[in-house]
Amino acid sequence: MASNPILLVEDNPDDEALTLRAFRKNNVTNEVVVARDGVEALDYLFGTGIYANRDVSVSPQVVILDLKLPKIDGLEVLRRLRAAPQTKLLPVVILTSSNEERDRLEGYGLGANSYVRKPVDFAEFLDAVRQLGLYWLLLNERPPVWRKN
Amino acid sequence: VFVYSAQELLNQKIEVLLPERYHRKHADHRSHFFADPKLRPMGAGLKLYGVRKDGSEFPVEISLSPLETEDGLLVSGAIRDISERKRADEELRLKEERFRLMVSEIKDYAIVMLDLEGKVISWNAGAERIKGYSSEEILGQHFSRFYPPDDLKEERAAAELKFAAKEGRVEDEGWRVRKDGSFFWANVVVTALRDEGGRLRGFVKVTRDVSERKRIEQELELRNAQLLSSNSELEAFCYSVSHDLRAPLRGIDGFSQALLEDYSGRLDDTGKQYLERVRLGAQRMASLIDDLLELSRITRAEIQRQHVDLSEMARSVIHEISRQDPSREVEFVIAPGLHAEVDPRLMRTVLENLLGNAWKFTSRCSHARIEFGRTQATGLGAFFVRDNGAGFDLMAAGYSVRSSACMLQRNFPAQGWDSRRYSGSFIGTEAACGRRARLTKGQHSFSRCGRTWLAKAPRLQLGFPILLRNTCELDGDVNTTINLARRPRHGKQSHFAGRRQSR
Repeated sequence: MASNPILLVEDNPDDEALTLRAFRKNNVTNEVVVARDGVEALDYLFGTGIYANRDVSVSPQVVILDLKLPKIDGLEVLRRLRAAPQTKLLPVVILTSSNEERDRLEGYGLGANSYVRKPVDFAEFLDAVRQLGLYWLLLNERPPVWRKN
Repeated sequence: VFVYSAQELLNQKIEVLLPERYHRKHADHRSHFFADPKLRPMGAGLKLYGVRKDGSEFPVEISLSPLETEDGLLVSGAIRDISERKRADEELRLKEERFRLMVSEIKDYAIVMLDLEGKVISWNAGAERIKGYSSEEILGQHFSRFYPPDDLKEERAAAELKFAAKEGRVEDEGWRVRKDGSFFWANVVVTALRDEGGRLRGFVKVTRDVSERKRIEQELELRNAQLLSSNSELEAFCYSVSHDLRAPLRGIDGFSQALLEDYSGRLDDTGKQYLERVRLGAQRMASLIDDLLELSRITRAEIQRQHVDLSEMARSVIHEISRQDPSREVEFVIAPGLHAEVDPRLMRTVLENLLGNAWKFTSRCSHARIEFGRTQATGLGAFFVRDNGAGFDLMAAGYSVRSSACMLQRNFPAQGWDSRRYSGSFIGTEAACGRRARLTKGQHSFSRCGRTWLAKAPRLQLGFPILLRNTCELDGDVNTTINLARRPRHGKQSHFAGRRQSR
């Protein structure tokens, strides 16, 4: 299993706990970095703000992104990281309560790699996380790392 | 002309040919004329009459020419019978009189004549009623005074006349002012009047007070705006419901599950059962939220009609439904060759809902039978989904309703349909094209695309309790709209129309 961290962007502590539990249950051992709003997420990715000292050459294996976030919402986070060369190809999975068509459209339109709706049934949720882990952590070959020339 | 022969009149005095009452006068005239003879042309403004041999009088026109001859002064007179012309003139006068009266008596329209400058030269009863001026007050006034007071009203009035003169006619709609200063919304047509030679003589201006129409239009506009805004509010509401209402449910379910897994040693069976019930409750709530969201999505969706093979669609829906439980034996009867102009996505939702319900409610039947077909039972054409499963009693409608449903195809005139006659036994489904699942008893409603009834005939009569009818009243060019029937609460499951079972 790839060892890069997973960036979980989630503001709801319940969902955070449940997602972490689902990772644990599915034996996902990667470090999980939790960003609780859009600004934190961007800071982590770009090594700014509270993450000013982070080594940005270590990019997450996958970003799990909620849409409804404080400060900067999920779609805007996605837009900004797709606009930056170093995060342009980063795998992003939208994991959200919404299954509104316009969210899906916009999410994919902005370059999300997957769109998963959080099921209420925890068993289903576990299964969703298991499949996510299987795909994004095991099967998926990451894009080549971007380097400044 | 006079019927006399020449023989009879020779050497007679000319007065023979005149009515007796003129005889003496005429003799005087005659002497005067001879004293001072002048050429007198035809019909020099006098009303003259001749008398025929039989004594009947008739109007004449006379011209006299004095002739100086060797025999002295002679006068030649040319006399013409003008009875015909007189009659024609009289007729014309009557006609004009009638026309004038008609115009002046019309009350619904202000009909006003304007001279070349736009001054009022005639004023009818309608004008007095609509604008409030009597004809004495307004004759000779310029018609710009009917415009709302603003700096440009003279210019606007002049422009209107100029345009009418150029194009023959001008139509305008706008606010106008009555004598008392109140406003009304007017429809005005100004027509240029030209004589036979094409010369502009003036204008006729016909004004209608269409304030009422304007008021209705404005009200409609307002309603539309309100509707739009409440729609977008609903959309925003659904959006936040979709996000916010589900989140706590995930917590309830997830942490219950965590308790069950991590602390099962400390819980007895009753405790575990309670937690399972908590989880089920959360999941049911989630499914209700999904139903609501789906419903609102259907309501919001733009309808895109196209030709759809309903038989084929029903087959495909049934195929999916029966995969849920392949062990069940259900007889499906699908009428072949059913077509309609519908929105395929919505139609599929309808069929999924109706056939899904039929599937569910025949689960305890030993010989389950589900039909999809077309019926004339309502007097109009309709599609139906019908099953032999558990029925419902309409008297308890709203609680135990369960339905088979028909979707009416409006290739058939709906005018003959008297909904009131059936209102006692109908449940109307208020629906935007049958898209709303709310059941309201005994009424029908209009919607954007059509009218929908969920109808119930007594079970014994039809065997199948509900017909869902739909006619498309407003769109003349569209044949079919679709309906959703809701199977209301039955046991613990409640399904709204449009629920997609598999996601």
